[in-house]
Amino acid sequence: MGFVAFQQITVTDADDVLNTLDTFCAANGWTTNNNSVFGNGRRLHMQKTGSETVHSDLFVNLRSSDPKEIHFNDSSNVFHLGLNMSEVFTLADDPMRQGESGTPVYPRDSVGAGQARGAGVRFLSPDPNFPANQTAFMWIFDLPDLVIVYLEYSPGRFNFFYFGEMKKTATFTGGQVFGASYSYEVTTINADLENQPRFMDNTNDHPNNFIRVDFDTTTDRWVQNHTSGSGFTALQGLIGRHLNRFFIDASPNVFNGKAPLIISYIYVRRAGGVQQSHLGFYEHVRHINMQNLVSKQQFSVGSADWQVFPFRAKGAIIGGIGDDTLSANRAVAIRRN
Amino acid sequence: MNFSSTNAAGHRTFADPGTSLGSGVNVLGDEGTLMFIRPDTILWGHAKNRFSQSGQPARTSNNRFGVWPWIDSDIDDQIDSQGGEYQKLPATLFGALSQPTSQGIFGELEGVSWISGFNNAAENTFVVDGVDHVVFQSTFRSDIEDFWAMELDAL
Repeated sequence: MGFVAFQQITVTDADDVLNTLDTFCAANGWTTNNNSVFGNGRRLHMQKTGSETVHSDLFVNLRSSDPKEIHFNDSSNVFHLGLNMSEVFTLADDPMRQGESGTPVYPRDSVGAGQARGAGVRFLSPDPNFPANQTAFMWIFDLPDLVIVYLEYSPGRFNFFYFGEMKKTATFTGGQVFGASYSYEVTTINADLENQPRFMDNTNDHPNNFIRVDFDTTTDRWVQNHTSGSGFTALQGLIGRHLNRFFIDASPNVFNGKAPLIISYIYVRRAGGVQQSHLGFYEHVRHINMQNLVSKQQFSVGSADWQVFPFRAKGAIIGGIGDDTLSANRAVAIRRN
Repeated sequence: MNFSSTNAAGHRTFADPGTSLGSGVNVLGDEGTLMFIRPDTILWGHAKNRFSQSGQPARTSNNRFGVWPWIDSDIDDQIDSQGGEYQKLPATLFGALSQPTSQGIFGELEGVSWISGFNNAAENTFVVDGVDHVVFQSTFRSDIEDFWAMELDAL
């Protein structure tokens, strides 16, 4: 089937993001395990049987908090929204520490007491609190399952998170994927620095995209998408050592101004840390250079409708908005039908 | 295929073209390349991924037309999956009206794709979506990045 549902809706606050998502997902094939008050916000746990991840259901765990209070394991930064995935749901466990008793293991294994694992969304500017009445764009796909949420917190500026599974091109245990904009913003919006949001991609220091994969002798692992270095990491997206980078830099086409839709392949570094094998790719979403497009613009290719969103803001660069260079125009196009 | 009795740089296949004449503006008149592209009504240009005098010359980022993914050094490390699956990537022609390159994508060579040479060999065959493919290497080269596959689709 692929595309299942889309909605554009106003969310009043951080809790409303979870409640709205809960209602939307429950109407489109997901089962709610729990939606209740937790700390300064709520906890939401949902579940669905995936089409690609045959060894386990897709369990997703979300938290909201305002004032923000979600600490992730790699940082002292605090987040308004957090999510991760697991292979079990236990109400008695912390919402961001589900299924943690040994396996699967997250890439950063040292987590302080009360801290979370996974990825988050936070807002520092223009408001340290969760901006009220944001516009939410929500998609639900299946075959394979993928849920995407984009939040426009001020005109032309976005945060995002997603969860689901990849389309596999190889045989392995796992396949779940989730991620979020790390959401670091001060007085300017930077598109090409560490800490910055990269859809289906990652920075080296701040993992915000995760993949579940067993490979070689390593089992029960959630791995972060890592753009360089060595070790057991996943590779995807646009940055660094990845084949997609070529296409984003080669577009838009100088001959007709068009930008190709770029498949985001996912690889894993094999034991030894050098050689890489393909795992799959993201269905329903493509990377694109949006130099000749505007945020939220819709276009069609044949019978397929797409809508384009920047990683954070179109033209965002080191030092502020306004540059129209290649790196400032990395974006995603998401199916609308 | 550009034939040579020696292991010359220009002895290559069209999927990963090259020349022994060095980098620079690729205009008709260079020798050793294996593919020509006509991007507009005036110009014919060379597609070349590599240059220099050696048997396995270096990739050039200074070319005007080329073929992805052989131009990308990332493919050197791409091997088959744990289950033995191989991924094929479409041969994609790129170029620009002026250097440097990577300013436009012309399209794909139908039926031609990159495939990893890891644990692979020329004349191997495989089937994707019911279509037979046969594997080739780049003349005398047999490193991971030197292989390609062609569909054997009945017309």
